[in-house]
Amino acid sequence: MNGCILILVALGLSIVFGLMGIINFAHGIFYMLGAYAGWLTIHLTGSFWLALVTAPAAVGLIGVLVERGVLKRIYGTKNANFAGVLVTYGLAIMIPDLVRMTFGRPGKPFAVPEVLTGSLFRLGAIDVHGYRVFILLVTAALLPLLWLLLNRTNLGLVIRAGTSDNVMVQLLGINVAQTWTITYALGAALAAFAGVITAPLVAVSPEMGGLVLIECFIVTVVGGMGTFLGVVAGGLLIGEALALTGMLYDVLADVVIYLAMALVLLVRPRGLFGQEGMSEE
Amino acid sequence: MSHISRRTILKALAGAGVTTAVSGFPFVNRLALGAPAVKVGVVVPMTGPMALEAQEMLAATQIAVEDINAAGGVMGRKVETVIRDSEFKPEVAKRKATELIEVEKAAFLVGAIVGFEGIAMAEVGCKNDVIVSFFGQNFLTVKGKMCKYQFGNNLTPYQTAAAAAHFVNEQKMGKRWHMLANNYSWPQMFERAYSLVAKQVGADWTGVTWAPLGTRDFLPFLPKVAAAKADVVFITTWAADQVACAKQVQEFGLAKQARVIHSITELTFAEAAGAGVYENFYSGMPWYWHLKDKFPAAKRYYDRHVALRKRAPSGYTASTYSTVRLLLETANEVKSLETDKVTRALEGRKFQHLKGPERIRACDHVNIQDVYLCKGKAAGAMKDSWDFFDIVQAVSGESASESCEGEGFDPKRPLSQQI
Repeated sequence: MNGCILILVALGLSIVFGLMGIINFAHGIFYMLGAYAGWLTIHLTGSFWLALVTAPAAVGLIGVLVERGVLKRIYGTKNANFAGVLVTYGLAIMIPDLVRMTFGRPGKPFAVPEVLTGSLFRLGAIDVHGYRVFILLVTAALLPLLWLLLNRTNLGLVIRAGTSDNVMVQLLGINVAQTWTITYALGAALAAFAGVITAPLVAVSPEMGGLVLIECFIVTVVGGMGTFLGVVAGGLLIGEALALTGMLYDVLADVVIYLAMALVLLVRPRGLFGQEGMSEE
Repeated sequence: MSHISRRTILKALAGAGVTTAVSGFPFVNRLALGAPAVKVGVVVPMTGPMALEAQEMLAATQIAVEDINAAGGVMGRKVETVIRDSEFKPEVAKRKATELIEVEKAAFLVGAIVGFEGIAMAEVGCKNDVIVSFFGQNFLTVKGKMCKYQFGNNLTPYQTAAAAAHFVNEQKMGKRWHMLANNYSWPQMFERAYSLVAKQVGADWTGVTWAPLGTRDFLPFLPKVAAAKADVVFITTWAADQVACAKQVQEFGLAKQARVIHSITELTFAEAAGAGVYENFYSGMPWYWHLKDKFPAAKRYYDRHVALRKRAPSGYTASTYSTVRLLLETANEVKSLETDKVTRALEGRKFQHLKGPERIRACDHVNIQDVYLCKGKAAGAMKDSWDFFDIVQAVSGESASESCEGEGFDPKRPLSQQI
């Protein structure tokens, strides 16, 4: 499960960094907001399946508001990167408190949909449940779609070009501002989707975005900033490192992801799939 | 123009005097007018991940102070709380605690939900000779780690673990034990307690499966737990980790292979997990709201908390109430706010607030109290939205507490004479 969630959340983080050069500390809150939006949808309609659509849509819209209302103001300013860190860090502190004030008591119950409960088959010592298979399948289905979006559409072309050389794309007369907004919203929606599908297995709480963000930063560093394949490889590597250490030598589980990051950076300082010049200023 | 005669005014004044004398305004009548209020400094994390727990504890503090004031205050003086936000940061907790003592002249310092806040507050209280009492677990009861002014009405980690272990033993749930826990200092204290009690009762302690703090996916750790082939699995996790763990242990079906005992839980965790997630799990608690049916004082407290917060009080809020009330009623009894005098009066003090009889053991300031082992209910069996558990057994605090010798203290002398 961890690998899938990390890939979905880290993809948005990586693309936003690659295109906009912003180290987006607010990204974890979109994951958390996705879980809350999902809870709200289920609370109002009783449908988990509807939540899979409404939560990413709603959080994507919040992403648009954040990008247009806040981040836009710091583009092109002196020390924009540093300002981006400060602003997004501020949002990451403020929004969980707003959620606490809005939703009140700690945590929201979020059950696995009835149709996906129960064991499907046994894999070694573990009963593999329907919901775990669902997470795996839905991530596996989303990744090719995202790859197609990034590699076979005009929007994807602009995003990839912008990730490689942002100034050149602007000089070509392309409306980069609009692309930035769409990219930021897409990243937020992806994180929100990850939030909804994780929610039945974890505690839905305002703090849930904090830790996932740290792990996603590691995934993007390991995989290479701004690269699709890098995030997928990094997510799988970190997710599996966490899972295997838990199974084989649990006392190392605390540090294994940092060890993996150190090891990869020693061998390939730009990450597994990072390229020279990408996202460098 | 109306005319009021002198006789009418005298009658009115006399009537007002009689009314005041017999009226329901005990504060006005019984609290010393003009005397400065007794201040209780409260430091809790009003912002951050424990903000809602902090609000619950502030409500419990308010109820305790209202009770004391209704009974005449402390030495006839009104009691006031001065509340500060620790922001869930040790350095802020330390700064705010210092401010409460130096600027606000607080007579007592209470608060702290988690360990690092407690350590910070204890440092300030001990340095300034002010009594400090924790709302969270009383985890510093080891020689060399505490000063003579430290107290805490909540359970110690040892009590919590030993109570669960004795419960398992008395209920004959099996003699092969294992623990799944987050890997940091607080659960590590439980490991020591479980292994010690296992040795005492002849159980086979198979060790611990450690998961990092903040684990989202416990599934990779569960095969190791299952491989231990334990009859009983103790789970020592907290907050979001416990909720995720409970959901995934239920998904894994561990309760079909072994008895699952959460060393300690809070009502808020069961709420966050959702109805039925704690079904068939046993959980330790310092207090559970079903006690309102057994103790009239617990019923009164329950009703007031529900009126104030629109939700049932948890075990930790009940401990908070008791912490504040005990300090104030002790000070009132000895008619002093002097730290040494109140400390000596607290040592060995027996009291009964919201549950069975309790006692502050003199040699280590541990509150010897019953620990409640509760069983999680199925969603369909819940009578209301807070009815997650049934109390199965109250484990006696005497049998669940570590000896003073075990903590490095002399059992025959009060702590204040040892440090």
